[in-house]
Amino acid sequence: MSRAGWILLALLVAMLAGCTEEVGRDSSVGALTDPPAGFRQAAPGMRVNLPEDMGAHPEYRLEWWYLTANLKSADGKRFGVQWTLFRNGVRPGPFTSVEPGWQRDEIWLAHAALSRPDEHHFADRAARGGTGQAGVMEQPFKAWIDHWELRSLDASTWEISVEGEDFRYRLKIQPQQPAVLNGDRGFSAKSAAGGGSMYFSYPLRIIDGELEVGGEKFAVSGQGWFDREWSSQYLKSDQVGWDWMALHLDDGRHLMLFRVRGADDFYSATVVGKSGKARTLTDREFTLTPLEFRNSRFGSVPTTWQLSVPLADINVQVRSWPGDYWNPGALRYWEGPVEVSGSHTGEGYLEMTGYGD
Amino acid sequence: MGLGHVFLSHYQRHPGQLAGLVLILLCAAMLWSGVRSLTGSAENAVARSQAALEPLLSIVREDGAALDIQDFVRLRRAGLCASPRMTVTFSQSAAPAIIGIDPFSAGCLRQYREQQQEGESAALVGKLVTQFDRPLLMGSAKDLLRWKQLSLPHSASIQWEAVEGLSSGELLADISVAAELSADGRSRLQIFLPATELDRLPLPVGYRSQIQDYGVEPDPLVNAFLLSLDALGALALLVAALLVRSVYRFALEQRRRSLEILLRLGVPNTHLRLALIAEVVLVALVGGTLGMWLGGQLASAMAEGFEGTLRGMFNVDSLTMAGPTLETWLGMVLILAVVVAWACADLLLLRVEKQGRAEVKTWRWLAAPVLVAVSLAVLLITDKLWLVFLSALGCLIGAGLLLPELLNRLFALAERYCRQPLLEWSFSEMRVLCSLLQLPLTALAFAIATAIGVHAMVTGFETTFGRWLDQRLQGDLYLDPGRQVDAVEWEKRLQRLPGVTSVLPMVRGRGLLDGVPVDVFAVDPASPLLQEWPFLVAVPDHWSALVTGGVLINEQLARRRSLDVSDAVKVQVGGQVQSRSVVGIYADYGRPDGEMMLPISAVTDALPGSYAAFVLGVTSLGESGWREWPEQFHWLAESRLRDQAGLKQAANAAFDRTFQMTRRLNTLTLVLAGTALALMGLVIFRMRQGSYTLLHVYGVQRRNLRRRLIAHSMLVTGLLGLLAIPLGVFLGWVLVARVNPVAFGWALPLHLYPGFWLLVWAACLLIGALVALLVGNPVRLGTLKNE
Repeated sequence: MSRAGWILLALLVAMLAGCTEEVGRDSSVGALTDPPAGFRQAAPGMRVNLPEDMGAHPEYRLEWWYLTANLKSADGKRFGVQWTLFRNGVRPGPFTSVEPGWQRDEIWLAHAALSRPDEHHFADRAARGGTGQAGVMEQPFKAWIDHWELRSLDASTWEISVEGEDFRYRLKIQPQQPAVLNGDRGFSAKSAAGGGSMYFSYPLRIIDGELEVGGEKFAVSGQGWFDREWSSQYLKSDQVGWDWMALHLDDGRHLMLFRVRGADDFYSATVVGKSGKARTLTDREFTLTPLEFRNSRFGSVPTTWQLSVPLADINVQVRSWPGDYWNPGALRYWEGPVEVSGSHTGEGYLEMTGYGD
Repeated sequence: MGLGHVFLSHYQRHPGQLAGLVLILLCAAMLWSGVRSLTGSAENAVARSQAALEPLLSIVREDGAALDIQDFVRLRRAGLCASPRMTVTFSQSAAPAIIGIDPFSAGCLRQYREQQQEGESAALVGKLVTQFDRPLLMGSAKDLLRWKQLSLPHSASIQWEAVEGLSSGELLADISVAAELSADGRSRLQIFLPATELDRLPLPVGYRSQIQDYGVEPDPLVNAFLLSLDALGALALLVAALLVRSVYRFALEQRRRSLEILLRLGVPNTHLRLALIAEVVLVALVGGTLGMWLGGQLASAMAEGFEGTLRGMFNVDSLTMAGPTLETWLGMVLILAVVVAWACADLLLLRVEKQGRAEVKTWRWLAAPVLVAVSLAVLLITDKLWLVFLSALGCLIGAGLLLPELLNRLFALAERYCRQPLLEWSFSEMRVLCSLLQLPLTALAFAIATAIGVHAMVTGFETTFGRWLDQRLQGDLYLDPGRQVDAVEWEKRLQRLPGVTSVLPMVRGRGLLDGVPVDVFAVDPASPLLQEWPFLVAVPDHWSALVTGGVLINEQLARRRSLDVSDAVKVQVGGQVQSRSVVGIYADYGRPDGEMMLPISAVTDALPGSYAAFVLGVTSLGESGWREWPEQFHWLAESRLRDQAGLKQAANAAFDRTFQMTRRLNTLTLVLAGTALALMGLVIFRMRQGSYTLLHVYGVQRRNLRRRLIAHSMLVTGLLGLLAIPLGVFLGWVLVARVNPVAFGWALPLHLYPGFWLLVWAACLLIGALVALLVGNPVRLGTLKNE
């Protein structure tokens, strides 16, 4: 799903409209539905090439590197982290200049958050492309903006380091091979009418990490989910928001699922087996229903969900941690950890947009 | 006849009372909202300018090479909140400079961060982001026009937008636009950091920082000034509250009778109260609304002076005068409703005043000194600003309670020792006046005290500021080289410039005094440009003492570290640690930071972040042709030369306008109190006509009685004026000696202005005379009809 795309587009529209409150959903959707000429479109039949596709795609308008993780300290304290790097093309690439320069070709944005039950910290950064202040290198993999960085240490390990004003984390990450190709071998549809993005993921194992919040340091480990997605395709005008989850079940399986809310809701999911084998689920193969809503800072949001995947014998409740996990900004979104109970137990992340006041 | 009619009929019978009430409320609302509107917008402007004057570090490469984009990236990748600025200048003399910034990192510089936070869609940085995909130049219409006339080859595709709030002669653009235009002119890339960044992280190897704009930052002065203006507005409200209460109290008896009749006729008590509340709200609504509107007019009329001040001191181009919002209007009405409700509390409670008048007097006689004593004690020991204001208010209220009573007792004393019957009667009559006019007299006393206090503060400020300017802006020309230079070499070069008689290098940097980081200001103590510098306190021949192991410190540092002249301190600049003794303390109202002054010989090589500027003395400014220097001498090309005399004149003129405005506000408060007293006096004297008429019947001549009436009135107001003068001096002391040190770390000296006291006292006498003259003939035989 272009969950990140939604966020990025929302952000961009807000930025390009002067970060003013009067930026309405209509105008953002308007920008989403009319892609500017010159950018390449993601289409069915396209394939994912690795490691090249870990790098940037300047010929596409949007792309992102999206990481969420559920962590635990040695004494059992729970944490959630999010890190996202967005790239938005202002002009279609590829850009020929090899020397760094003050350009107006692309904008890079990054969001980082650290959550605990009833606690959420957020930081962001922005930079223009072309200077070297932000960018992505595919081999060896490195994605950065200022001093925030996600990079590979060796063939099987990445390291991420982030410093916000009131939190910081540095984690060693092992992406689980092979890459999970979402949708149709990497092309992930976003509506029944077609259109979508190129989308692959890695389940992550966090082997060694250190985070600091509230003046306290914690050694942590856990598991997470990494998304890589690029597109120039926009959502339909009747689509108002989405719900996205990445879940890690205690039996070793992972699930990524989303619903794009609109005149007709669009559902898609991927289930990843213990061996790493992935299977795409259609809307007939699973159900995802909100059970309970929570009154949050910005209005009511569904924080407990019923998820049923009969063919995988999964029937679970997904419940957000207590608290308020809005990432603030001109167009805010919910990004927070969840716990899973029912036929299986587990944990994961929930992202929601288009709710609230 | 409805209840409304009954209520209305009271004012139909006493239209003067209604007019008086509305007038008082209107004046109070006008003063308060006018002052608030001015200080509010000034605070915003000051906040913006303060951001612009935040100490900024400019990054330079240690190898002396020009900065490029990779240096910016290196600093950002190191985690520093750095932001670039590309300045492009053109050879054409009239061409505005292009200032290219990076809107994505501009938030690091408070100047732009504040703009973003205000959320105005017009925020310049926001505009640069919105228009990121097209080349845009922003500036004043005048500068844009000049730019278009240049018709530079690379500017064909550029779009323009006229905006307010940019410095004249500069156009703002995205840095990429500036980079494109640099082909047509001369460009310079600078990278800035807020000074606080280096407390958090070190600079990467190969770079060092220098102070870009050390800046004169006189905002504490302005803040103190605004604070005092606000206090003045609050006092106007207090005065109004007293006056309104006196009007209502006066009306009490008349109203009570009709209210009691209504009660007896079966109108429920609650209805009466509701009707009274409605009346209160209505009166407040009318007075408040009209007053707010007039306040807006007052603020607009005075905005020019204010704006001049801000422009002079802060380079603030415009003061945005926002119209009153619904919120401020409601707030105003609410404040006035509370004022009026307090005033008519007796009526609202339909309380019958018991015989305990004597008890009240005794209570007041006891409580007032206690209140004054407690408030004074708190005032002397507290270091919290709100407590300073609260305790000052306590003192004021205590004194206000005492003053009419003190007058009364003075007259009682005189009455007792008086042998002449007519004089005895006069004293007794004045006692009655004191008692009846107690509230408006208190209000007048407050107005007098405020006038004297604010005058002491403003005039003291003026004197001090003048002195401060003399110190800071000495010499004829001020030269900022625009980059780090060798002070010794530049001094020699500057001395060779035509017409230059003296050169004073001033090197700034950071150092430690007793382990505490402070600003360092290094000068050549032998310079003739320093010999007139004033000091708060200093040893004899302090300039020589500075060379031989002395250090001069500013007042802030002296207060914070409890240092005095001849105290020994440890001074560290760079690697050197020196033991020095304090040889003088100088006023430094510009900044809240501590600063020490050292001889330049003691710091030449060792001062971290040092930056030299120069003050020049010239034979004749007019003949020196200094304006052409940057073009004539290539090594001065990047320098900024300023004519100090002009700068001083502009700053003084700006403050003159502001001071004039304060005086006008002060006069308005006095007029308000005087008018109210006159209104009340007229009514009271009419009430006392019977007593005068009786004396006339007993044979005292009409002319004599008229003279007496004038004398009574003038004596009461004149004596009150005399008693209020110490209160005014006290208020002045609170403002300069308590409010300023608590708020800003330095005090203004308290000056006494007996000339002004005399003026205020004369005004009091005039008010008294005016009231008596307005009453006219005190003898009216008709008043004896009921006797």
